[in-house]
Amino acid sequence: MIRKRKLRAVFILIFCLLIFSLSLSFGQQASPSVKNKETQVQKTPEKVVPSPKNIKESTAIYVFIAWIWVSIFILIYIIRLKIKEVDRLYGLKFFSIKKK
Amino acid sequence: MKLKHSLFTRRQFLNGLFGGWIAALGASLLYPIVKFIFPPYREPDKVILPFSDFKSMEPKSVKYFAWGSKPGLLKKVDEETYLAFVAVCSHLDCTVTYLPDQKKFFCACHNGWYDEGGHNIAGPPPRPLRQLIVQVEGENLIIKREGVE
Amino acid sequence: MKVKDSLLSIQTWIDERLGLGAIFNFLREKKVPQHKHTIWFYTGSSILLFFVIQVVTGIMLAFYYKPTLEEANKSVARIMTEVPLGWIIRSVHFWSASFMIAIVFVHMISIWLVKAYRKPRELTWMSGVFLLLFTLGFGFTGYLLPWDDLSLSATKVGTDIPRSIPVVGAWVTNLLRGGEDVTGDTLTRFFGIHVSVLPLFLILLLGIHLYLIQKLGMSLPLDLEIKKEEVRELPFWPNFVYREMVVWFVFLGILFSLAIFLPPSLGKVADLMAPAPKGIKPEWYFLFLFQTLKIFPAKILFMTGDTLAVSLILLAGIFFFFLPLIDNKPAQSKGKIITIIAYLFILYAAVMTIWSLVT
Repeated sequence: MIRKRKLRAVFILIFCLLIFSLSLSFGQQASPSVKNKETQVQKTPEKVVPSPKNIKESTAIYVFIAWIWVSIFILIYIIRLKIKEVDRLYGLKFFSIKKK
Repeated sequence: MKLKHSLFTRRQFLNGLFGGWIAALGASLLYPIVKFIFPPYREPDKVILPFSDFKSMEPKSVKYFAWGSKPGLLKKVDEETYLAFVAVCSHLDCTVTYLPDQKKFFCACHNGWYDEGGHNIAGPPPRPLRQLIVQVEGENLIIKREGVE
Repeated sequence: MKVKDSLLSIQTWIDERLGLGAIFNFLREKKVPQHKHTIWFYTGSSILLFFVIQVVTGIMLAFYYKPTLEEANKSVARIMTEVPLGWIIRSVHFWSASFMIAIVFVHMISIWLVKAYRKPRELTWMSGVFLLLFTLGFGFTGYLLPWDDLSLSATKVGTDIPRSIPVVGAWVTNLLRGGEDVTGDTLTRFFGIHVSVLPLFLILLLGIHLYLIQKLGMSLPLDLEIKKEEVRELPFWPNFVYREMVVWFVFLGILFSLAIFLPPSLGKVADLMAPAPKGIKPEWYFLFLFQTLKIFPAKILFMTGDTLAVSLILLAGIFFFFLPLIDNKPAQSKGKIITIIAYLFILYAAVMTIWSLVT
């Protein structure tokens, strides 16, 4: 029992290390450039770093993300209500009666 | 169960809220997709060309130029006067040509004819050719849309 | 209500002709067992979610992407700078690819550890192995398409590795590259594979995989099957699907947030004559294989280190594919050894990946 717990702990540790090093490498690869308000298309040898073009676009993006997360929380709340309802109905054998 | 004075039951309300919110979410995701698929077409306000390319034109002859992504036709009336048209037939978008011996613009797709001033005279074209304003400024030939400074 | 009645009559009209009602009834009857491993059941539909996102964003990118040597990099730069919100679409495509591959790995490992591939589900596992290969193929072919210095070098290395396979090696490399070397032909070939060949094969195999799952039902973990206990069950529709929706929404939220705040950049145009860039690495899902090749010495006995490494990897792959047939007595010691091998493999892959990232 204790051995299993130790093994599980080791695996969780390795998993966290993995996620940590992956996120480090992603941080280097994908350049976070929301701070830049201009798209940098310099002469061809340079990297092209994408970002919103003007303050209007960057504000719109923040609004969009906020809207997405608010929607997610509200929709998950409603779905949880529906899950409780549907589980209750199943427990009452509501669905078994359906015979064509 | 629905009370007599309610518009709908609590179940209907929640289901409607759920479905409606998902529809709104879908629409908000559809908007960037549509913007992506239909990029804005911007016609140029004016096009600046080197006059040297057109100086040597014969009077009463035409030369094509690029009007954004559409073809344009520059016609030299005489040494002082130039006319410019968007060389897109008003019928179904074929590129028109100029026949100097007949002094008419001709669209080969469905036998559309325009006179020297670009007015539709025969065949299916419903409207005249779009005319553009030509100005010579020193080294440059400037072709403008109507209404542009 | 008029709207509801007319919708209902349209539904009846369609059902009388297509008989789709049978599918919906089946989904309502289908039961999902509730046990300590039910959480892993959510991985399958999440893979499907990300695949659909990939198809949609991929089609949109294909509207503007030009798959030739001269235009590829330029067209991606154009998508990122000129096309309205192009950078977001590309970013979603980039991140969704990593998500999909990560969840495919989790899905595979969870099936492996609970031994869900036991009789009669061997074919489901085997079609799944092909699906894994196709998914990695998507990642590999897609990575070249921006045609920047990093992706060119990654492809040069990646298409050189099959050369070490005994007998057919050079032929496989030639097939992938469209010749001896990576050229513009390789790019066009990879594009055709990425948008036509792989989607077609993946969808065909997915159909088989999904059909088998419906036909054979959800498996039980080994210990529960042995105990022959009564297991609580939930109907697939609507109970389980509602739960899956919660997972999808959370994943979508994380995906969009990452896509918007950490978009991928585009390197400079690939130069066929230039030396390999420093610190070149493949995408994260290939790192453990990459590191495996690195640790083998240049020559062992009469073989090159590469040939030995690739052969070992191939053997491991074959063992992996036939796992359900090899693990035919899962409850006994052979089964326990295979479980230990599974944990060792996960450990190996994780350690190799971390090692590759920090050096």
